[in-house]
Amino acid sequence: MIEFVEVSKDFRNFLPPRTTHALEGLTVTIERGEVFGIAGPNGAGKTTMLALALGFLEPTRGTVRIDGERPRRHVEKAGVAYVSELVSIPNWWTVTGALMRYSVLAGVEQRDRARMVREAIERLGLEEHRSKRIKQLSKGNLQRLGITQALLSDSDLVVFDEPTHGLDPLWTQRFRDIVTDLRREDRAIVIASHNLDELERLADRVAILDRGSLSRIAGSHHAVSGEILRYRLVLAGEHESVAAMFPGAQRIDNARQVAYDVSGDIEDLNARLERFLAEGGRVQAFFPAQSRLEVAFREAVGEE
Amino acid sequence: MTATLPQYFPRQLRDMLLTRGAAMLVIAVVFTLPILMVALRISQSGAIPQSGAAALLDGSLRGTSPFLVMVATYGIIGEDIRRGYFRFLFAKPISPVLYYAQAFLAALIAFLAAQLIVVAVFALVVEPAWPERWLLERTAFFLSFGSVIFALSRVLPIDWLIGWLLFGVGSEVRDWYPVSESLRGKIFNVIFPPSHLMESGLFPVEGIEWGHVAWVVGYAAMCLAIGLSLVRFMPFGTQR
Repeated sequence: MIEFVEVSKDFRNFLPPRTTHALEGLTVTIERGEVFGIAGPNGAGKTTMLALALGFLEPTRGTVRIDGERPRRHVEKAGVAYVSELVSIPNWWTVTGALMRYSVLAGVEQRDRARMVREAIERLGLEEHRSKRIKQLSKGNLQRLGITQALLSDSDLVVFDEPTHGLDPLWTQRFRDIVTDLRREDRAIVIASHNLDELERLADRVAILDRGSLSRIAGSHHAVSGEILRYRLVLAGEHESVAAMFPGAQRIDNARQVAYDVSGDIEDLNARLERFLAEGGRVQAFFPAQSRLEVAFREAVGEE
Repeated sequence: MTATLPQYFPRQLRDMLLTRGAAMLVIAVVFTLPILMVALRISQSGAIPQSGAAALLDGSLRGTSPFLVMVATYGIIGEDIRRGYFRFLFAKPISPVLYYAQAFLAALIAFLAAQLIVVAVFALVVEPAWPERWLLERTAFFLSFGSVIFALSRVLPIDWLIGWLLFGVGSEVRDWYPVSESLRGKIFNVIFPPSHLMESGLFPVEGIEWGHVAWVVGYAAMCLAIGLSLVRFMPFGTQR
């Protein structure tokens, strides 16, 4: 759906003369039906990549196309459900007023507007703020309003830039549910975030950008056979066979429980766990000690 | 989808009146007050002839016009970009070019509404007067000056000041370099806003110079086209 081919973006400053290479030779295709994550340190080019996809910026070199069209042309024709990192809405508008305006621009039929705005307000829990002016909203509520206005349209392209920035844990969780609901075969969802945990939970693929270049694309978050990962094994009590059953297991000393870090292929670890349980071992929890995305991210940005 | 934009126009007009209406009202009142005082003083010593009242009101409308145009049009494009409002607006299936063409129309209506208030106040305090073709004259003035600020608004943060300078300096430059005397004069005559044509009025009761009208309308159309082309082709985004 979105195709970046050898895309570079330079920003030129005249006083003092200086050129910043925000993106360099980016080639990636985002398909319909997937949730595509973009991760990277500050200044890696995440927001620039999204601005290019929305046609707010033109590439210095290379091409960006959405369904074969220039992004601006596509956006003007079909619209994009977009939440920017900075939610900027005129501060004298009310919450309802803002949503009514955006619904007009989104092409919502007049007869459906009031209902759709009401439903969107309820979905994002903004009922008690509906008459407030934008300037009266907290950062979290403003962020929720940003998400709400994006949900007014039924776009086949959804773009979130740091969507959970400023949200409390409850709404961060609800945002994940919203993304899950938005998943559709004919829709591409793009999420740029610093939050690797969020991307790991939501995205099918994650592009890791570093200093304007695509370092790698990490795949699905599900563990695959043959891959060596580190897991945390939490036991209900001490058991003498741990060392024999899980060679190389490292005891976590500062944990308040009996916990070990174990490494290995997931199939092999499952077999060992089975034997461990058969020998009377009791497991309280078993989970990845380090996310796959985090490992990929650290490798990609050159950090061990 | 751009068909939805006309439905958005009442909201654009409302925003224009809400955000700039108060300033326009203050300007209209402050600049009309001295003329009202003069008119009142004259009327106390006898009835003002209708033509005299109309001339006083016309002077008031002319005096307030440049300030009202500036308030109505400054930052008309640039503010959305500087404040980041463009992100949500232009992710929607609309044409930014048509959006700003509508915004300019909303500014024109707000400007004329402010002028109408001056006319109404004059009618209430002194006597009803109706300068000849004032609506045409004021619309022409708005187009000739407002379109310059509109075009500048996409690229300059102090569009109103540069627009004011271009408009004001235009007359001076035309005096320094007469059109008939040099090529430079001819070039300056075309480049600078047609402020010299606005001084004596574009639509006198007798003998309208249609060439002048065409010049003003053409100049305004060119400025609007430049502004809208900048909207169309200049990227909204910047390096954060």
